[in-house]
Amino acid sequence: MAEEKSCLSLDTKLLSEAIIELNISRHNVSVYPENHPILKRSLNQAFSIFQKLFELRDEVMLAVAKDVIVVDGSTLDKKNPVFRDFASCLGKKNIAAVTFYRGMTEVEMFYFHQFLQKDIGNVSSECIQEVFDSQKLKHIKVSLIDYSVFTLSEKDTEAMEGPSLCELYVHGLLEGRLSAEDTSSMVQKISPRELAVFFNGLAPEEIAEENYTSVITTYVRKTSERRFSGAEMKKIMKFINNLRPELKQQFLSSTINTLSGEGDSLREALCDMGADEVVELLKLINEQMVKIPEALKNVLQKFSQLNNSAYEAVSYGNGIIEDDILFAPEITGLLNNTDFKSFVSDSYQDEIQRLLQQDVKDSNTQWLRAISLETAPEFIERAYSDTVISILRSEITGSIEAEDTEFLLQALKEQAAHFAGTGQYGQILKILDVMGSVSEDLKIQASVEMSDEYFYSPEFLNILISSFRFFGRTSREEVRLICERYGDNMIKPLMDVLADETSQTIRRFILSLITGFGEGAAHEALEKVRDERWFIKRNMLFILFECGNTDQLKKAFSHCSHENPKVAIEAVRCLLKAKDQRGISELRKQMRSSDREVCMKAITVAGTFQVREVVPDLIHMLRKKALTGDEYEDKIPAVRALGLIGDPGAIDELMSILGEKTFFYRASLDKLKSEVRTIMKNHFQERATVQGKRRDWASRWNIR
Amino acid sequence: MEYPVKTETENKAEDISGFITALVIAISNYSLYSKEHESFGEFAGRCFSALQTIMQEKVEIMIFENELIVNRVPVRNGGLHINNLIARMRKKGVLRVEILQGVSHHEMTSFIMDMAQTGQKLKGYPNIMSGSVDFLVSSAPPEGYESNSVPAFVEEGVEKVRSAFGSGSVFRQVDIKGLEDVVMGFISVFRREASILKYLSPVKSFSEYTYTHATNVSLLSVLQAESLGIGQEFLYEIGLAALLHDAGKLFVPKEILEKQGKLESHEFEEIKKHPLYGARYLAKITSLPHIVPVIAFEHHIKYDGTGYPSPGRNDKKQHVYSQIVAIADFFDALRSRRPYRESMEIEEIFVLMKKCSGTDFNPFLIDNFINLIHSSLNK
Repeated sequence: MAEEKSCLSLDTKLLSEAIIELNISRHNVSVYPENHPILKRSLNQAFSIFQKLFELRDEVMLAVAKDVIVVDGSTLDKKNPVFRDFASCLGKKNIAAVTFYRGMTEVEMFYFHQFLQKDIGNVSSECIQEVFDSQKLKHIKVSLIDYSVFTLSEKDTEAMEGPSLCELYVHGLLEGRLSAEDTSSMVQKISPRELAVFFNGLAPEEIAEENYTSVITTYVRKTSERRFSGAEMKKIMKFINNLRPELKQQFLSSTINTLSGEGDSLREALCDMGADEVVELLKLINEQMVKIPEALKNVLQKFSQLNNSAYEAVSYGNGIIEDDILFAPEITGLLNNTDFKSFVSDSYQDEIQRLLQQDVKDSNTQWLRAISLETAPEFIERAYSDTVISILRSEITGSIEAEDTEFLLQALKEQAAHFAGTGQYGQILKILDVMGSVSEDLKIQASVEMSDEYFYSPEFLNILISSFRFFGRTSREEVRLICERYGDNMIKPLMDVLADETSQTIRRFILSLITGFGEGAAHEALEKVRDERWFIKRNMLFILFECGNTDQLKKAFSHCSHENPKVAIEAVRCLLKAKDQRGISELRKQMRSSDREVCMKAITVAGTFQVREVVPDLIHMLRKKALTGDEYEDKIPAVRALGLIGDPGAIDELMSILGEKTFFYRASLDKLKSEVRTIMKNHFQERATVQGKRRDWASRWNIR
Repeated sequence: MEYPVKTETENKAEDISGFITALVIAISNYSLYSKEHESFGEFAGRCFSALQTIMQEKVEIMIFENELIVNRVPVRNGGLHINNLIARMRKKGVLRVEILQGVSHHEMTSFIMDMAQTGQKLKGYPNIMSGSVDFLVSSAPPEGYESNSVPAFVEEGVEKVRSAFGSGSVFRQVDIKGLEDVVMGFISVFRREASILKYLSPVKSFSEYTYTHATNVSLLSVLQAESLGIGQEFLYEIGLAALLHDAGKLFVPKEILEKQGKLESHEFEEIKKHPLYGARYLAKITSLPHIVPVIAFEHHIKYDGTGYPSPGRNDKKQHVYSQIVAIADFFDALRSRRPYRESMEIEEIFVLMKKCSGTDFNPFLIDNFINLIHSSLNK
């Protein structure tokens, strides 16, 4: 009896009802809690129909092909939205077939639906099977798609049916997987006609430029060690003659270029050929209007030993007979340069020239190039993004369902990440703009907030900021606008990136972005300055210097005595900017440092900040007797600093340098003197005149 | 119900997503900038490192239906980058790529550059194998399609478009599969026939206009695209987009669409919303190429940026595919008989087209279109 049942065909109407009810109960599982009456009723309804089906059969198997359900080898109505919905749901779980067995309970159905509700994302079939098995559903079994059965096929469908030797070779060659040496012997077996037939069947775009040469090279077994023969030349000729016209020219051109470099070999090959065959080759070259390389021309000339002067056309009157055709004297005259102008006037020639310049083809090419540019996926993605933005901005926004908006926002989120990775900041700005504008619509506020969350998430900010490294410097304005839009949210991530950045150029760029945030950046810098790493401290102090207010700047004091001079000097700069007296004493300390580098930096800073209080220290430095050339040159920064400070009290000291003499370190002293002259000219000349001090020193020391 | 495999699987999935993301961004960066650009080297490097993390004996990337399967695991949570890679592979005529363990950084970089080139097939690499499947050519002709009955097929196309759109219900999802068949049919028509005018389907009744018009516009768009040398891989997208360019009309009340007399201004305002409705509707259908909603949105925007919806919406011009469809749309609309006017003669339409060339339409495309129709008439 059971056997009989299992053979009965299913009632289509009943089966349809079963799937519809099954799908309804599936949706209800996602909406209602386990014991909800609506869910119970729905499960019961589906269960009852299945019981009826089990009266006909012991098992009901639904196979799934994408969004189509197949039962007993027949496809159920492809257009039925319920079938498609159910099939798609199974398909998304990698399910190829599901079988319901007699004995299935409502509880099992419920668990099966729960299994279907889960978002499994990227999980292999094995994992899904494991999860499914753990449910211990005795009466429901699934067969999952076994992706391991798919293998790579490198041939097209036709080739797979019965590839010929020729097809195998040419495909390999076209794909570049065969090397000429390996395949030469195989290729030699292919008749020229067969090879030509194969190529005639290919579309031009399937044959790359380099393929022409590689086919010829392989076909004649041309290697650096081996010379080719006349027989191989003949084979090539046969092959070319059997090709379709446009291929003929390409292959002939490749043949000529390939062989022309082999002068001796070519001459020998031509000697092997009969005169008719050589003439045929030349005829082919003429027909196809293939340009002959100089080398080949020489070989052919030598080979043919043609004496141009020996050529005599048969004359008939003033005309010439060639191949039984009479060329009238006007025509033969036309060919004579001196008579050319009597047939073609200057103005006509001008017109021809202008026509040639106005190359229609060229203007078409420009259009076509522009069109081809727009076919690039990047271009289309931008257009898509603009379209989605336009929809969200449009007058119909109010009527868009929240679900639709969510979808569109999700699309923009994904695109934004891609645009960030590819430095398309203009697109990102548009997306950020639309987020701002649509958020006013209360109906979709939740969706917008959700997207905002993403755009302000560390994940997205990281993508964005790390892309600044590559594209930021070339799109400064757009990057600045993005930073402006994000405001202070951007500071911390930028500082994190700055900390790890190894390239000085990129560090400078990031610093320029951070300092654009003003006091907000200074605030964050004060937090980060506590970092133990000296370079972080230095960068933070730099930011503080650029953006901090007086109070913030004064907080740099604790770093003035940092062991690293770069940090210490940066801290002093902050204090000096804040006009904090502690800065001057710290600066003085550094000027007295035994570390030359620290001292020099401090002097420079003294000049930059025009710290008058340190003028006596600088003068003291100048007075110190120089014992070496370096010691003379070390005075240069002090001279510069005095110049920048512009204290007239330093003039006499500077002038005394101009009077100094040395026997051993003249070059160094001259450098120092030259610096003094410059300083005097740029910073003291006017003041000195006012003070009546111009006296004789200007003329005496050649200062104009 | 928890998935016990989550941690390990999730990690694996993340690694795969990371690889795909780096691969697609590297491809895009090469396409947008150059091999020398710092970003290309960086992302090619990231891609190569990510490849090592997912490398077993080999890495298998396969398109199965519309899903990307990497190492036998469907990658579903990859969003844009997954779709982007699928689209790129399809355009290269590749359904499967296998990257072997011995692959070098240089090889991978060359492969990325190769993937970025449009209109060229993938080259061969010692450690990267790709399956070449020419989708358009290998596709079997649609059911019931006989090679000698092209006009009959076009008529069938109208039927398919009608059925794909459903019976005017806006709640029904467009049947993309049916439309694919229609476009494939057109493309195969062009392979054998040059005179295309005879295949344009006449409108037999007012209610049939939307479907017939969609079919004709698709046919004329694919014809233009092919004549411009646009690669075969793009013809399908253009044809499909052209078929769906007026999908937004499903959302415009039938009374307005089929009104016999002149439209009131508020009715015209409603009509003008159809590009927006269409784009919104089509953008949600993930299986459609992204150009489809773009064309639905832009087909009434003019070459000079005016037109509707909202000129100046973005500082961007109409995409060239939209320009192609706009010309086909204009031609077929005027050529067809409508409730409120008779059809126009071809030469009359050409006069109008030339008048609007440079303002409403791309002048180069107009010249090309007129030449195409003329040469079709002469055959």
